[in-house]
Amino acid sequence: MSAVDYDIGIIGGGPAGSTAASYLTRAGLSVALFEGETFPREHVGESLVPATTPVLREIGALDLVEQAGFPRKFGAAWTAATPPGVPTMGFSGLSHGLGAAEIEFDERDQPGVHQAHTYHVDRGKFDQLLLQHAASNGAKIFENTRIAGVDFDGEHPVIRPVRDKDNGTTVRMVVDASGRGTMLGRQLKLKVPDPVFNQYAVHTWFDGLDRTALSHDKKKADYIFIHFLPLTDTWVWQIPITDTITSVGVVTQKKHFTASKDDLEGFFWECVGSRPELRSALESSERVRPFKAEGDYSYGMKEITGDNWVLIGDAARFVDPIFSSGVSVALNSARIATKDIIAAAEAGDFRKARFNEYERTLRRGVSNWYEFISIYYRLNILFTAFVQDPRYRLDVLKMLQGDVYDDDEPRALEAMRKIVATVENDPDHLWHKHLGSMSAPSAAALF
Amino acid sequence: MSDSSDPQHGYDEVLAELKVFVETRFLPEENEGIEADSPLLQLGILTSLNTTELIAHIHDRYGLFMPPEYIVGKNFKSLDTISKLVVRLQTDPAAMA
Repeated sequence: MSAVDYDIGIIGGGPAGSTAASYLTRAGLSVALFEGETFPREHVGESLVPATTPVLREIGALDLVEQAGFPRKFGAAWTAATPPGVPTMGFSGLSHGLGAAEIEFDERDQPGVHQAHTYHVDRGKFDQLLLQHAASNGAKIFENTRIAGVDFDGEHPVIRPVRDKDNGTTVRMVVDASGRGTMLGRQLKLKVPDPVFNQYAVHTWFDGLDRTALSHDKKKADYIFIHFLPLTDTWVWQIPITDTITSVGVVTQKKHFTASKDDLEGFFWECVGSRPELRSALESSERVRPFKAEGDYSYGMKEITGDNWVLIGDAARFVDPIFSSGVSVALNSARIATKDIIAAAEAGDFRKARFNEYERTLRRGVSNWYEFISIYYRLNILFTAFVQDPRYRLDVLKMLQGDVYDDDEPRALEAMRKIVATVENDPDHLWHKHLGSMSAPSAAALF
Repeated sequence: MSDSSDPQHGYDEVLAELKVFVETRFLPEENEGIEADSPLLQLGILTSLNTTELIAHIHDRYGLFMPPEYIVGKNFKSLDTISKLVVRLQTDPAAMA
């Protein structure tokens, strides 16, 4: 057997890659991690869900995250505007536009979670903290080292950097955690654009936004807020980053983004202008980062495992940011995949069949997320009704906590699917006119 | 809070109670009251959004779950039809879930 430089090569130093590095080094494997940027660097996806907590604890990073002073996130709230076009007998504001639904994570006990809060994070700091933690666990970190590709022709994979292709690193297997760059997905031609979702986001940071102005309950001002706009399938995230800085982003379907790429600012203000109270609160604060766009981010992969490789985090799949699932999928896919990788290393066999359990578990979790997101866009009012319905509230909360990997068929999803069909088939149903334009077949799961 | 163990609520009682709820919750103070047959949906007093609030109230007050397939125009068009629905639900197993 020819010599390898490291047991495992990881491409990407975001939360998926650094978490995988921590699990693997703590199990005694040697790990090289290649990151294209030099940390800290900015990144979208700033709100966590409680399913990240057990992973952070297992890799020994939970105390570090707690001590770093990130804003604690105890819950989530959704707000909606008064629907237009309904005769109102001379008055408006039937629903006062706030508090369409809200949840507190602590309402449901979650296995492995012993704290009521998760976190909102500045991803520059958070990702750097996790990467440094991986280094302190013994992973060899190569920053500012973009990878051109992986050579699978020999006995062992060789990871080749862009700047020094001849000088590759030989490993026993590769973990692609390259995020939306989808390094292996592109190289192996696995990437499939999502047939239903084609989302687009424009986001920035504001300093001095009065978060309490947008919350009817001041104690909940540091929840994540999802503000629905009276534009089809369009919403705004509001995420506390520090005491005074708030991340705000507009998410819409790409086809609604008709403005030129140079006019992100105009598009942003036009969208938030449809909720005047939101626009005026934002106008009274100061924007401290340039507007940034994220596109082409709804996709899946034909395969997420193969001989000597696995894909984790966004490198495997991304659909939509609505339920803050990104970092949770990154951390949990790293947790689940590394179990199989550690077993594979013990057996000295890194062929695809070794990663079946990872593939099965991630597919189940991501399929549940996918259907939940689809139903949410298809019939938003159903989500509000389920959150308010004591029969389903905890089942919905379970999904919002990110606790989606152990359930073949979450109860709330089954019930929601039936009701969507009822509403679709009955024009007299009060929710019929609220059916969104996106309709996803429930079997749409890729990979 | 649920008082489903209480004896059944009759039509007149339900109508009177729901009238107060809808008037205080969904009508501004300066407005005239509404009648049993006022077309709530046509007038825009009930919208599909605040209907969820009314449904939550029916659960709190009468211990009844509203099966989503009943949330249709013919059941919610007036206080009269809503009250009849509530009376009917008190003997409907689907509402006792």
